[in-house]
Amino acid sequence: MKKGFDVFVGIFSVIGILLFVIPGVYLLFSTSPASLFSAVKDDEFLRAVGVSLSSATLSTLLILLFGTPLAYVLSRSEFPLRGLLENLLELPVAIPHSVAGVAILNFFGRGAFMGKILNLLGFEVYGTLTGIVIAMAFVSAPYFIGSLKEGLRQLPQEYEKISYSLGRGRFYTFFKVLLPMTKGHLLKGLILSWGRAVSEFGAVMVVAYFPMTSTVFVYERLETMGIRATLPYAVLLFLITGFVFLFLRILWGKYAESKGFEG
Amino acid sequence: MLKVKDLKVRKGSFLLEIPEFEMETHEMVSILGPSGSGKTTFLEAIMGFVKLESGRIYLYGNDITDLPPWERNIAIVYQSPYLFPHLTVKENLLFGSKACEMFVNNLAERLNISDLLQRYPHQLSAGQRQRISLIRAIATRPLLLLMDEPFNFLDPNNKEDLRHLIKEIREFFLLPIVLVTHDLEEAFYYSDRIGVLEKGKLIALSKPFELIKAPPDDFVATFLGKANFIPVERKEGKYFANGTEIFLPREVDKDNFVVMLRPQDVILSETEPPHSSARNHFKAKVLEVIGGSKVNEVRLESGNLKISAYVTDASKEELRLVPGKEVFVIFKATALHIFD
Repeated sequence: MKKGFDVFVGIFSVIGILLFVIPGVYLLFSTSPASLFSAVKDDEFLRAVGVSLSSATLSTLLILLFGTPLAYVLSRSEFPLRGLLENLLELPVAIPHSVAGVAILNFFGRGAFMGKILNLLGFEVYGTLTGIVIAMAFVSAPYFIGSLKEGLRQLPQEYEKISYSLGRGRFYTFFKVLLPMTKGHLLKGLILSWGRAVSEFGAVMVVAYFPMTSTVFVYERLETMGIRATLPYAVLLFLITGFVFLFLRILWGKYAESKGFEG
Repeated sequence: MLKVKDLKVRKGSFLLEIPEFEMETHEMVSILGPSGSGKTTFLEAIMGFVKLESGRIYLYGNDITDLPPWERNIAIVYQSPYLFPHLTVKENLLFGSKACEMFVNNLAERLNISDLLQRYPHQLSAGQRQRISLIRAIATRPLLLLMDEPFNFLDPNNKEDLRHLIKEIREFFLLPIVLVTHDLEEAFYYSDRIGVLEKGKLIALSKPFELIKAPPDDFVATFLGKANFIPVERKEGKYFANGTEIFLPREVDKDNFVVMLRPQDVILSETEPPHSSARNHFKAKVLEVIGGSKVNEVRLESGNLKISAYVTDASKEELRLVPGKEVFVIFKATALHIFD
């Protein structure tokens, strides 16, 4: 009986690995070093990678700036329709990303009300880096807000009360108690959001085909030159984003370990 | 010093209502009461952590009702230490807006924690953590200290240490303290006055001796009845309880005070024991015998004094304990607990 179960788990796990792990690893061995080398020297590709990395980083900063107070409000305040707001905030995880892109254009685009305000401030969304950053932030904010909100909820409110009783006001308490004590969740949220932002394709392509992000670049190559020619770029992108993401995860793991967080 | 007037706090269907509560400078007041009686809510109202429905709170004559908690100059210690884990002990002690390096160093030296200053909270024992949390509260030089069940999670040794620390702190700083607890022994240990909260109402507030001698109602009497509290009077160098001379483990320099006797330290006997200064005894009448899973509780009455004793099934049979029966209540002088 016990053996039967082991066989069942074993077979299904192998199929799972075949589905979820092997395609990525197999990609790494699907091209030659020579073609990788020539891809590295492709200016257009390097520019696209630069656009991706910088806009993902900018969008993560944007999320940090506006998502942190939002996570605090959601974890500490009671107000009508809070549950609804929380669900709406998580929605970008589920809705098709091309739809997310359309939603952004519809709201921030040239003819729209917010678009006019952004125009007055000198920003243009359609076909710009600004648009890419906003699209990335829209789809990846839920990961950061969710993580920080969870961290704040787990933190007993007595810590804040103690801080107040020691004569420290709300700003001091927020920056010196709440944020340091939820640093683990904050970092985890930033890493997840960044990872999500850098890999975004759908929303970005709708909002700004140019300047080309690395994801749009790969799609474009695939459409125009076929899979053979695209493979070296795909492998390189896989390596770059994979390494950055793994590096951040390991960094966070080390931090979490030193502070006794649950990974 | 602290004055609370017409306080009302509503939490759902629960209402805390304190028409009047006043504390003297240097006084220590304990608030006793079962869980859910509003003890913590009362402290939170004084701190400014809950919204008042009505009422005013004054600290040294100043109306602090509308001040935010961080401007009240009142410190609080909870049952868990809540030390900031990302800060060292020293940084924790210096956290308060009024804490300064010199004061903290002096405090650390005086209270023997200098060797802990560079450690992080997770490197301390549970007892040390609670000590530090109390010292952190003091380091900010509050006008009033509130303590919410600070002994709850401590083992007996650590409890004893913390008690000494609280005593030391009271002696050094003459700091007024409100202690919330459900532990009678703690309350009697060093309180100047004891208040009893029941269902959001302060049903008693008086000196320990008076509270025991004349509990305002049955609830207080039963609540206090879990241990034997015996009012003692001193006359011409001798001590009397219930009209009978009794012997204490040591001299007490007060005319009226309360001693505590645990029910398990009481022996019942049908025959009168010989008089001795090591043992006290007096005659009492059995009121009721309550059977328990391990021991039986016998409630007795002697004059105005009510006494509880625990007896085994065998003793219960042997003494034929039934309501109305007269027996001798015997207890060692050393079994009496004196509250200073």
